[in-house]
Amino acid sequence: MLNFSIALIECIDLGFTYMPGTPLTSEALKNINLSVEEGEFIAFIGPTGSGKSTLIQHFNGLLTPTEGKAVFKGKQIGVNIHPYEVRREVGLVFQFPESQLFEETVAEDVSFGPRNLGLSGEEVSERAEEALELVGLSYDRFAGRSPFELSGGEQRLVAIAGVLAMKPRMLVLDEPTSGLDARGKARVMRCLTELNRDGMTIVFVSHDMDEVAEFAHRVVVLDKGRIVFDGDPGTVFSQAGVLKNIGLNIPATTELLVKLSGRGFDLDTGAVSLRETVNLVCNALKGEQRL
Amino acid sequence: MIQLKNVTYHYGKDKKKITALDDVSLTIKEGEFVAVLGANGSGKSTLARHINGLLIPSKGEVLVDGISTADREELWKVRSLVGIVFQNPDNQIIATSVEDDVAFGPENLGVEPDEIRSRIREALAAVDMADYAKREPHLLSGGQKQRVAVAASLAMHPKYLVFDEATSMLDPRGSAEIIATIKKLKGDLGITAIHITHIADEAVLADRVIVLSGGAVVRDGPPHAIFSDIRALMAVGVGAPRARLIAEELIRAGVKLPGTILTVDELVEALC
Repeated sequence: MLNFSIALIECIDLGFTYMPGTPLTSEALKNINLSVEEGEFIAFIGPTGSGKSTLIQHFNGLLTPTEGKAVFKGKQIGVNIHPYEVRREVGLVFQFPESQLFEETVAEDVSFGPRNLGLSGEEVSERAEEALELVGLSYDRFAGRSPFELSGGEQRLVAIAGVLAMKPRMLVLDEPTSGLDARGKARVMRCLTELNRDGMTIVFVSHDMDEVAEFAHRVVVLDKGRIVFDGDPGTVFSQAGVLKNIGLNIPATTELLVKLSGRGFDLDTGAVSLRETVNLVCNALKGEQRL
Repeated sequence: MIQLKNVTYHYGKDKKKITALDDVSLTIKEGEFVAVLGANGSGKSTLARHINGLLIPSKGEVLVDGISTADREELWKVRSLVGIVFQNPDNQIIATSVEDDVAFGPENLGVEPDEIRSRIREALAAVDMADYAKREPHLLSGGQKQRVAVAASLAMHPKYLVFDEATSMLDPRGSAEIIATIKKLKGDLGITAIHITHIADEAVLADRVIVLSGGAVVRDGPPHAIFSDIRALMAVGVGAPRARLIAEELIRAGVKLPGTILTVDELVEALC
């Protein structure tokens, strides 16, 4: 047998036009070719209106491409595999998902999805408990509380747990930390990192370049519905000029390395995480015998 | 001058009573650029809404140029002194063209048509949107819409402008546009700006930072003093400026750096 792995998600010449054939028609995505492998941790970045949210909604069949195709594990979504089946494997967390919390208790809210799968009561509560622990909320402390009396960050985590209770193999999140304070952001990103470490594929949209630099293993940049860059964070953020032109920032770590190298420091500007950056700067200082 | 004197505010009643502001006293002088920094639920939006009388204190009082916001007869005077720009640009735009949107406020104040036209020109120029007067607001970017909302406030000739998390729904370019606008308004028109945010890197740009936690003021001072103790800020759920975090890690690795670095440029200077 041939030994090759099938990508979890593949987009082949994918295009998407909202309201085609009407005066309001608008082309949101054009000629997207992309594959997501099992276990990846990918950030999608781009200015408002670049097509990020439209693209990620193709990963679980919520949107159907108007051109080309979206493929889940070798099967074209909507043709060889029903979107419902894809949605069991690919969980989608919308922007501000806490606005969708509705039950009286946290446990009930997280149980809603698995209950609709027709699981037994025991399995449902097991899954709810497991999902809450996965997002770092103690079942004993939170299960009985109203989701509406929690902090913004905790509500966001409950909403993510609701999707995790469906046991997806991939999690797609649209701006999972937007509107959260520093503490809330840290909790959500720590949770995603741990899920990824345990093997879950994570795809997220973000406007926070520092967060992308710190956590993502791969960065896809969109502008006007097309992919502009797709690579590791160090390579992508080394394109500061292009990113700035399309309205994006670079992380503070990259900015520091670029500015230091402009001032004569001998260092590689490709690093992006806080730890890598600190190591590079320390090594450069040691090279000059200043440390 | 804006004065908050022992302001306490409760949401809800009896058993469900939540204290959103707890005995807050502070004074904001004319011409200041103040950032109010706090975690989710710290009371910062509640504070913002007290400044133009959208909320009236449960205890204590708020005085705008000496007028109490609780004085219903004078409430319109307070509102004309204090403009407010909210979080969601889409909720604030009401007209079908940019200039009509900016005209809405002064029209309702009964300003003469000629004067309205000149106010529109002036307000749109102040936010660098003069070329967009005839455009339809829904076709603008988030940052542009938010600048139209700022212009609509400016056309009322306020003395004080409150930005209630006005950058939090914008992309990086949009946020940068709003911050640049605030600085320009302060410089050119001498507007007093009160910027409500949970982003430490935005608070760094202000002249003064007020940190709220649990409805109370926990720190108040210039940015370099406020961010000198980042552990205290972390404890109340507020992050540190990113450059400061990098500096802290470098210090831990043995690099000699001052403890006051707040921006990447300051860090570069200290290292060179």
